[in-house]
Amino acid sequence: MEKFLNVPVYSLIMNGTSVTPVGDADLTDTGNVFANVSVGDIVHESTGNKYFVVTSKIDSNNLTLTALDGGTLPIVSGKSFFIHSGSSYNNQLVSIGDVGLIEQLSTSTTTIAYDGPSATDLVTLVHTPVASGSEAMRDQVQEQMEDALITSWTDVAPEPVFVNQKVIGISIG
Amino acid sequence: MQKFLSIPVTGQQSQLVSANDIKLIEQFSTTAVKIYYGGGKVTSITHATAASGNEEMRDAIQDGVVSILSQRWTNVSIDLVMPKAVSDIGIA
Repeated sequence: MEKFLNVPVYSLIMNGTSVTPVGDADLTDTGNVFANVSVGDIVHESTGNKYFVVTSKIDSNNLTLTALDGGTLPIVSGKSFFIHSGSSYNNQLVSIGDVGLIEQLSTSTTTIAYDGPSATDLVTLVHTPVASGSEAMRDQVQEQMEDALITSWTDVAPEPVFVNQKVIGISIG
Repeated sequence: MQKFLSIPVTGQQSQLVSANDIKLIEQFSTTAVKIYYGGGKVTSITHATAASGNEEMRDAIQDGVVSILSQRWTNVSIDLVMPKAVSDIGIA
């Protein structure tokens, strides 16, 4: 009986490098690169590994943000960032067969280790952060896995519901 | 219970790819999808170029996996209709 979680992965809209913030903006770039960005979208400032949500779009070069995990605002010049949709996603299958252990590796990563010797037997979910010391995402993955495993064998890939966290990337190895 | 995807490969008719013990399916690049299995085996499916960020080839394979795994044991393989032409399938 093979089972998966059909995990919603929130789509990457754009990425860039911040410039010196203008006026009341918390994140500024040039070239109207925020044209497709909307309120509620997720900003991952990858240089410092901090997460924010877009609270307003001043214009297509300037955003205001709210920090999700204590990041400093405004975001200064020279920081790499990725913006993911807060509402649009594609689904990716993640195996829940032969799971050895699920771990809250950091506030924004949860790993699923499988019962195998290979380095590729480790899947990492990158998600919006949980509070420091919290294992909320691990617990949700565990609960969704348990729920999926007690469904009919023909229900191969139920879509999990993660309250408060959004997955923005999945990798293996 | 062994299950397979039957994927048409240009100039080679169709090739069977295992749908068992898959851990993750990834749109690895605009021209390749990788299927990662338990134990470290990786099957690479090379295809015609998709647009950057497009994951329809991965999605087609995922849909095929879910479909064949939910069918009775006498249905061993499923014929996939791929959105992009597949030119090669290999395993490492």
